[in-house]
Amino acid sequence: MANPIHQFEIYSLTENPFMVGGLNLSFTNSSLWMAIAVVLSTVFLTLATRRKALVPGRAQVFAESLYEFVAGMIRENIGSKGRQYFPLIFTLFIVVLLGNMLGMLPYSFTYTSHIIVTAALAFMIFFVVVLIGIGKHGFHFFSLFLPPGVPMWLTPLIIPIEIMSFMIRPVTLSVRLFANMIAGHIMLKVFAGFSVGMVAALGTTGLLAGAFPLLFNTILIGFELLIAFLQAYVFAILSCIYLKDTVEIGH
Amino acid sequence: MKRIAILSLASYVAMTSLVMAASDPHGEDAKGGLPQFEPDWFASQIFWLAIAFAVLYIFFTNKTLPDISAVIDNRKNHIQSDLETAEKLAAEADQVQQIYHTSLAKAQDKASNELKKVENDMSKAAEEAAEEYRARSEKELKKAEAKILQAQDLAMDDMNSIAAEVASAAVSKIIGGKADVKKAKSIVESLNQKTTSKAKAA
Repeated sequence: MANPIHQFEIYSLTENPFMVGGLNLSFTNSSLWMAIAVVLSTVFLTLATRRKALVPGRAQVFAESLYEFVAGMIRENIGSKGRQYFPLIFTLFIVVLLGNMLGMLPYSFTYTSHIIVTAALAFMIFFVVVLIGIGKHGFHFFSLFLPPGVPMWLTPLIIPIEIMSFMIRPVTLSVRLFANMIAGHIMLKVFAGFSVGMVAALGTTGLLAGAFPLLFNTILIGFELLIAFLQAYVFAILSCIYLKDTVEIGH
Repeated sequence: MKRIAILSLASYVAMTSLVMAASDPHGEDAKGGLPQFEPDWFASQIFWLAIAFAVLYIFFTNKTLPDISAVIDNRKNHIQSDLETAEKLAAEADQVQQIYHTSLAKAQDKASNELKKVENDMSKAAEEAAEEYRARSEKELKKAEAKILQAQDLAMDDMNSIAAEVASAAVSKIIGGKADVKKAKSIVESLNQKTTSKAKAA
């Protein structure tokens, strides 16, 4: 039976590793799928908006609804001041969505199933929040850790809790996406392995028995497509909620 | 359509997993632990992710997002201006209708005024004609009455003289002698006047 972990392995696509200052920065299968995501999204969005039609075609409607979707997400979660973050959230959403969706293709690589990738994205949001927050509000930004209306005697308890929950944000954000992706892909692989194993063990009767895990896998793939979209949406919307702290502090 | 696409994708996935499993050179003997937690590739992952993210961010900021927002704004403006034009045209139509209504009312007024005037003229002319006829017929009547009165007077006068002559003739026949006709006539006239004044008093 195939090792369900094998699909997550990274290997360099070049003969010699690309070393910079002792770091191995080789172009890997993961980098290849990131590049595919970049090319696919830029080419599609450019072609879709090429005609700038007043009455849009199918591709343009798709591009416009993607735009409106992200714009609505920002409007609802950050407010009118969130416009400055629009390109950031849009790029983030596209990167995560395409990472998840391209991962559903056979033989592909799901770069969002790697904790280091999701963590890099989550910490980027975290640092953007901290740096812009302090840059804009100065020391007042730290009043974030003391919600309004808390009784004085509770502050020694509340402040550490608030700091902890603030610091844990990038961890939960990255682990949520990573865990969802890895679990789904392992499950698909395991069920596909069942089918193969049954054929290998039982021969012709196994073909019949193997149809059941295959059927289940078919349902799972539909489910995984939903998860792929949903997790990209959750990642983007939580980033919006975290970025909200930079535009307004409740007190 | 969607269901077919998902089904074909799923069967494709199953088939490719089959092929991969058959051709997998190191199925069981892979290293333990998840590849996700091997730090060897962390730098490369972050490096290429940063490049991909940066490229997309720059491209979206400078090309895609302005393009899409321009299209959406353009459509919004177009719809807005269309709506404004429609409103303006509707207002113009209303104005035209109002002008039509007022001119129609004016024309109706004018027509009815003229009609009234014609009617008045006609009735006035008819009245005048009637008045004139009445005046003329009254005059004729008066003239005729005067004539009758004159004739009556004349006849009365004749009657008096006949009565006086008859009386004088009767006197001369009875008493033989000549009677004064003139005296007789004055007597008759006074008698006659008495009776007429009596009749008038009655």
